[in-house]
Amino acid sequence: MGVQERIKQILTHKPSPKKIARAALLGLLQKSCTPAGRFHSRAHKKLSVLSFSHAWKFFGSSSRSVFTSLFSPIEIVYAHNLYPFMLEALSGVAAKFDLAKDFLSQMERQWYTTDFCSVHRIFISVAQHHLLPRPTFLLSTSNACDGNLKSFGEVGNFYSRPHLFINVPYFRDDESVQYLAQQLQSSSRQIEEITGKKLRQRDLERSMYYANRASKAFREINELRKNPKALMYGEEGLGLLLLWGLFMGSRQGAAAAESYRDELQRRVTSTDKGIPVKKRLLWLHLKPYYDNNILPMLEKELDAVVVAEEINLQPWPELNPDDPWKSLAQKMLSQAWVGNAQHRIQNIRKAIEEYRIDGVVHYSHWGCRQSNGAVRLIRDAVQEYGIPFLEIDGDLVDSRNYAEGQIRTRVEGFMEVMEGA
Amino acid sequence: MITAGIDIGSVSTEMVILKDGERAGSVVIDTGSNSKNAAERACAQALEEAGLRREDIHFIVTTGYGRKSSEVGDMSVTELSCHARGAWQIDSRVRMVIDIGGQDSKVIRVGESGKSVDFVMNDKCAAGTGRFLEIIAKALELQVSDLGELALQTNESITISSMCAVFAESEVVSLIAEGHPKELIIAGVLDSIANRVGGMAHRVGLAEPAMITGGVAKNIGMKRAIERSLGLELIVPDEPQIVGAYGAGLIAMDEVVRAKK
Repeated sequence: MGVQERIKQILTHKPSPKKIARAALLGLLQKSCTPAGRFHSRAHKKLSVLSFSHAWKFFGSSSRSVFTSLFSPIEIVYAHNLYPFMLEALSGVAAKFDLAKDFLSQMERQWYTTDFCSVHRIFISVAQHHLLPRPTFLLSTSNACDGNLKSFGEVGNFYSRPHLFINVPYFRDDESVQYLAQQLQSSSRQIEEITGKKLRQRDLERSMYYANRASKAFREINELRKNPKALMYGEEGLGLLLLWGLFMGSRQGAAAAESYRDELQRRVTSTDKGIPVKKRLLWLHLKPYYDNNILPMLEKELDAVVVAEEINLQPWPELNPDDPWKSLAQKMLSQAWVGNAQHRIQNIRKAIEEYRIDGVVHYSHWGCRQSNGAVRLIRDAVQEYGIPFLEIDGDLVDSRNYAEGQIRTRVEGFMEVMEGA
Repeated sequence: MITAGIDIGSVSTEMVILKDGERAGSVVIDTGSNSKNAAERACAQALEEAGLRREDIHFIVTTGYGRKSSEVGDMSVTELSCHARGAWQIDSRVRMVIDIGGQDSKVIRVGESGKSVDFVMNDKCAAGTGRFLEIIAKALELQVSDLGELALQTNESITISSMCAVFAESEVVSLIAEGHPKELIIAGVLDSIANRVGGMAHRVGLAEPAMITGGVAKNIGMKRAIERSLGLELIVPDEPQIVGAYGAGLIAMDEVVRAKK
């Protein structure tokens, strides 16, 4: 039996947090022993090893676990010497191991509406099955996904643990920065009360130092990827959200981001032709995490390579340890997903110009109104550049509506439009 | 130069043979359960009718949902590009193509040079496809080919409220049991498909002139219902069901010309 099958067996046969920690340890050993050549890159191997190691620690040590959402300011969690764990990532793992539909049907039995995001339904179900360690607390925000208030609230109630919810304002003016900064400071005080430990200035400075190193590396990665060569596949690029969503503010996170930057720098100067690229794509929203062929079809069969992903196109501003809450608030408000859809569209326009994009793909995840609601506006903006736009309807974690033949016609048709343009 | 296009659809398979771009023969056969065999059968039949051998054909392009499984062709191209190319060759003014196929429907924007420049597809749901018409015809104990003329016998229709083909079938069965005239029910069904297709056409952006292709285009009631929904007239080519295969044959010809350059 292969390691993957063994992990799946552990996850499906009377699983518990301790058993999942064992599965993560198995994964960690497997990834550590696998030659770097079997990964997208050496940096990718580092990130894989780091992720399994993090999961092992998270599932094995409940006293320091914190449930977080994508875009949560996890720098605060690291400053308090705790382990953040992005619950959305769990749903991705469930999809990867083909377990998503079991969790989703459990939720359907309980009358959870199928209109509610499947990613959230899965992690609520995972929690209800007692598969997570009891968290110290939960930290989520309203940025990008306002469903967090309900789903994290539900999981928090289930474990009887406090849910710290940060309301990210719609606007980005001084008043909004101040409003958000106050919430961040107040959240940190609440964490002190929950843990009974004061936040030490040196720990906050350390977390911000590593976050700044990682942010600098991400800015450089985004700059390097403007190169006429395609430096990495979008399949790998979309995986970077694991890096900043789980490790921003940690030493390992900074090292992993720098490792990616160094890898890309090597590829820029390398005489190797690298990735064959006929068309350069911008990918909007996320990718499906179950076994599917969308990106391999585009990138490896048709040589239409994703050279930029919206999710990574953030300004990555520096944090200021002398004014920590304000600078963290400014960082959170700098993300294109905050507020009016025009911020997102501006970001897309900039990417089209700077990355010399030939076509734009929006993966419309069922139930993600925050993203899908802007598709018409995005499409109109993209078409102003005379380049094609493809919307792929699907689900990030529920494979039951995925039909490869139908996707293939859309993807190939999109490529034909790009080639004819 | 002899080229050919084969459109392997879920219901039927069409092959068109072209000599220097002019139609030299065509066949339409049922696809059956094996799309790979369908392409081979269509090819054998078309060659026989045209008095040609396989090696006489310089290039074959396959299209349709079975385009990848066929071993007959030299290249595969999506039906989106093939319908655009075929429709444009028939009438170069055409800027929008509506194709209602057996298992999907699509609206394609056509550029000035006959290429697909944008498209919207419905393939998640049977409502709005030829399959829906088959289901309804069966429930009404009619042939699909009867539906169009029957719909034209009335200026009214009964609203079919179900959005799902399976539920719509149940609704139609209930309407029959309640004694509603078949013509009104059929008109309601065609209106429901037309609304779906109309929504797609507006999404991709209405453009004129517009052509309707695929076997469903022969259904006069369907054509009128879409025209009412869109508020424009649709061009129906003489043989709408072979437009995809014709376009594939033309793309095959373009390939040969490009290779010679």
